[in-house]
Amino acid sequence: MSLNKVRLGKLVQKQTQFKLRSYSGIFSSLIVLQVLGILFSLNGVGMTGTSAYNMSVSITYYSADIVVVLTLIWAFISAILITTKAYREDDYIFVTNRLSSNLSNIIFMAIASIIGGVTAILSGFLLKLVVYTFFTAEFMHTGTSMLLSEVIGGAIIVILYVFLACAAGYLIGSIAQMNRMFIILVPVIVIGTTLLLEMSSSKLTTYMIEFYIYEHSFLMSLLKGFFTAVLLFTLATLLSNRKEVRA
Amino acid sequence: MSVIIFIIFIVALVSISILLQRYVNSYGYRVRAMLSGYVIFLLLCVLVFFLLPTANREQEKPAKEKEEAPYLYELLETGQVDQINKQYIREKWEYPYEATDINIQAPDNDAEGVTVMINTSNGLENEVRITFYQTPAYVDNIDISKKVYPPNVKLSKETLHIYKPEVTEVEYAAFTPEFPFRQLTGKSILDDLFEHGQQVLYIQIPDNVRISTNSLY
Repeated sequence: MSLNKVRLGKLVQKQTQFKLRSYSGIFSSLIVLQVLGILFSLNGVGMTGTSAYNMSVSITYYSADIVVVLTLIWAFISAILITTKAYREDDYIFVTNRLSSNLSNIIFMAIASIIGGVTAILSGFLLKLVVYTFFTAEFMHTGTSMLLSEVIGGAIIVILYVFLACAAGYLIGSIAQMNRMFIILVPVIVIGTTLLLEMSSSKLTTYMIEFYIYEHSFLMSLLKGFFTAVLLFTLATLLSNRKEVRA
Repeated sequence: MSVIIFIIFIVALVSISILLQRYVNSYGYRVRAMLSGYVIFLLLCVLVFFLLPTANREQEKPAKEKEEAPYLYELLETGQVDQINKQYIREKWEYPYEATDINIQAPDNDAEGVTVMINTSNGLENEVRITFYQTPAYVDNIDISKKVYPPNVKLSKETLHIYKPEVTEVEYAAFTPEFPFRQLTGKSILDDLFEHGQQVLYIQIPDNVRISTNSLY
């Protein structure tokens, strides 16, 4: 029994600071993935062309879409990693409980999402510089003719998607940690269900993606993303509370 | 080119890692130094990009109004040649011609070739007149008409040769915002950007000359 009464807020803050220091390996993988994403983007993310009379016109589109997608994958896998035993054990150097552990994980993932999202957006400029410097094609659009509100809105949405990927990974990781069987069952069920839904006439997967991606309103996108993340994290927290205490 | 850039990137990344490993002992500090360096490098890229003249091109040049071109085929078919603005005449050939027969040869023009129209009721005498009309072709707001080669025409004895021009290949690069930005603006990555314009090679021959062709439509 400890004579010190530890406040939850202080504990979460300390744990978050500790995690930011000790989970630094996650950020080195982010840099490597984003650099790879930029390299993969050098061939363009899309191409369109036309041919009529005696002219043939082609346009190659460059964008950091691949970097954003790789950042989402990074967030998803990193969140799963955080739920593994090796990472969970680190929490026990503090006087801790499941709630403080989960809260500090969520705050850590929020910070990681901001870093991942912002660097993903900024990497688009690195890509533009590389293409502009080394490629000879004539430029049509520089992709900079957006309003400031659209830039800020888009950046927030990127960060939110990264956070959402973290939430999905964290829930799947939490389910997988409940029982050893789930480590195999969860990916099988997730991939199997997705494939089955794709093969069947049901458009559930498409609808689920469109629910987020086709939303043009910033506020609605923000609300959809935020509440989905809250739902996923709540489920993950509830599941982790059901686990046995560590001996 | 992509391969060279790939190699440069990998060499730079490995060199930085080796340097950090040599001079910074703690793994945590190493990663934080790498992350800080990466963010500073990306911010520098933003700065450099906006200093380039290309970056501000879209703001400086507002979208040019595309001109509404007349429907050339209809005007030429109905004999309203005078209605066509002189600006659409790209090339003109005039040959004195006194023979009573003319053979027109246009090899290879049947596949994506230039439309050839022949007119005999024009009041011409002892002369063959060939005009190449072209209305503007656009890629987005860029007028690419002048990049397109006109056909080559040559009259030798009683044969008029029409040579299909070589294909003009135009390549453009476009930067497009990432998908979450496109989501908010509602813009698609592949908008309909092309307008081919019209190309017609209009041949005026005196009405007393008999015409034979190879494969003209």
